[in-house]
Amino acid sequence: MSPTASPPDATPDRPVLQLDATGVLSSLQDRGRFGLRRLGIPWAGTLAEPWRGIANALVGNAADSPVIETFEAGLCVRAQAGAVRVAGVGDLTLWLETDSRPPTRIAAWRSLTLQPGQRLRIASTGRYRIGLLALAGIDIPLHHGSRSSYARAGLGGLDGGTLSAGQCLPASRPPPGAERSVAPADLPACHALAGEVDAGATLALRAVPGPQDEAFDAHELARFFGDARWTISSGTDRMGCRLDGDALVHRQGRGADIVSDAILPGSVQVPGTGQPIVLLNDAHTAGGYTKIATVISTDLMPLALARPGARLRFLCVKADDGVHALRAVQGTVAGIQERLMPLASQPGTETLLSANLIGGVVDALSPSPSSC
Amino acid sequence: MSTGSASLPGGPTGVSLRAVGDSALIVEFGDTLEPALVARVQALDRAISLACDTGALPGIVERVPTFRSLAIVLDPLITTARQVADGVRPLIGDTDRDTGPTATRQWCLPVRYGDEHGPDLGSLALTLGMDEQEVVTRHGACPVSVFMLGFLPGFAFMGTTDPLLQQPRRSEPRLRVPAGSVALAMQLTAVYPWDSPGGWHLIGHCPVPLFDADADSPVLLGPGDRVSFRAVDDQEHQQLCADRAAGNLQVERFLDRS
Repeated sequence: MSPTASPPDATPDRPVLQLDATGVLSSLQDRGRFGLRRLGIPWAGTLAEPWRGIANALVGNAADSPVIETFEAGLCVRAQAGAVRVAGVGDLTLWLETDSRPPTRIAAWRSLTLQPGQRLRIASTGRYRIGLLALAGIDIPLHHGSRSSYARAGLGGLDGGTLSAGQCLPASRPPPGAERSVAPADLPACHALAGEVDAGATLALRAVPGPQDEAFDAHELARFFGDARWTISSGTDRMGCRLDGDALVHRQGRGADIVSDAILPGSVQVPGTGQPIVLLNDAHTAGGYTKIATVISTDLMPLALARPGARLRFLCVKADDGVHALRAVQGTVAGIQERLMPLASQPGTETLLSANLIGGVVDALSPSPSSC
Repeated sequence: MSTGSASLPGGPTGVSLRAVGDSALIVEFGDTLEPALVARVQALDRAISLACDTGALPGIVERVPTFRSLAIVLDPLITTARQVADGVRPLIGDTDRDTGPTATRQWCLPVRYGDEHGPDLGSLALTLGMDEQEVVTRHGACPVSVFMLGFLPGFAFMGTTDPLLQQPRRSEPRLRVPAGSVALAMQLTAVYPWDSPGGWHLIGHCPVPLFDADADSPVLLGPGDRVSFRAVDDQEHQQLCADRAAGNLQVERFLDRS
């Protein structure tokens, strides 16, 4: 489909958001596809679930709406046939592009109306690997109970795969009312959900020991939950995060192999190499390596958003601590959603929310952004 | 068995319960692969299913039966691992007296054995000291149960195979096993639903899709299903492949209704 042609059945009442570019990897994700792990089908779902709730609230979507989850820079979307409302969340550098005018810098954590032909481009996902984009009224059919993409098995999304350039996402007219943004005082909390970590600092992941912690002696367990430091290797994706560090040693005579049992997101597998792998949403549902610990639910998002080279350690906690953390995150998200503010501008007007600008100045004499 | 800080009061002898992360409980019946343990796992799975239907166990998201453990995923905002464990523990004792499900699906899957469809049939027969036909006959004569699914969507680990056919996996796995490959390793047999890496011995090809994203039920086999294999000739195999390509292969025809 050419970049300027609308799908034939798109109208102002049924506009579409066309994908001009998808960056490294973009896919549609909701909370996940539950109930099918016994058949070998993982949950999938977004790696940034708290952010999905905020993004959907910004555009007035129901809580179960899918969002575009995108890795690194490059996603570029275009309104076709009618205006659409979108919201980008993350540490995003966003540009609003309109033909024959210079691009305008747009803040993340706010909704925005794109007029037909206008484009929104993610020039950077900043300190995190991932950003999300919500689309008001996104209309995608359920596939076995979820809209989440699990491309390996052709499930979910638009057509069973990840998103590709030229595809169109059906949407609705922008909701009535002004565009909205997260309250400025809530922005630090938005970033804290992703584990606000200064460059060079070590991410601490809270984990519950087991289920095969007995495969390691007391010294190795103390090291794993104490002094051991790990670096995220280059081999990280939606299935899991490989770590490099001083190899973990299994108990004498106890090897890395087990008769397969269930794997869940958060499982920390230790194969014979002694280099741990933390499994994420798209990981296999069962496996035959010892699992030394299970990361608590809330701490998978910071891990998934961190880049190769990031340093991390594990902290030993109880299941109850994970539940408390989950309740706290849910409370934080609910509060942020309640305090969303209308923007003063009229719908459709480009707006610079100067309080949210991280950097970068538009040169009115230059036809394109100074850096992408 | 595990004795870490996430352990909960145990069940009957040899059965342990422990919290896994903050959103799951695992009931471990053992750490070996044997039919008796699989049967107990599946019996507990059925008992919990009934309890969930009556509302006796709120907050359970799903259960994942494996060879020797049952993972129970829970919603931590509704219940806790401890509460689920308390609700599940009374059900464990009956699992070694369980006589099996009241109704089991029984499949009969067609297989074109050997030649280019089963590139390891010859070498496996040689290792086992029998001719290829005997391997085929023994595989077809031994109905198996689906022990669990995993590794990939729709990949069913089935057993127990004829003891005379049991061999370790290949020393060198293949980078690509064609979808539909019928395979043997250890005391198990499987049909690969997808092109994938694989280290099992490939003895034939089954044209029935084990995974179909667009079917009402995307995965053909479920834990506890019974499966037997029937040798087909080239003509029938090609007809079945053609039916499938044309969208005319109804999988129900492979369900025994005896």
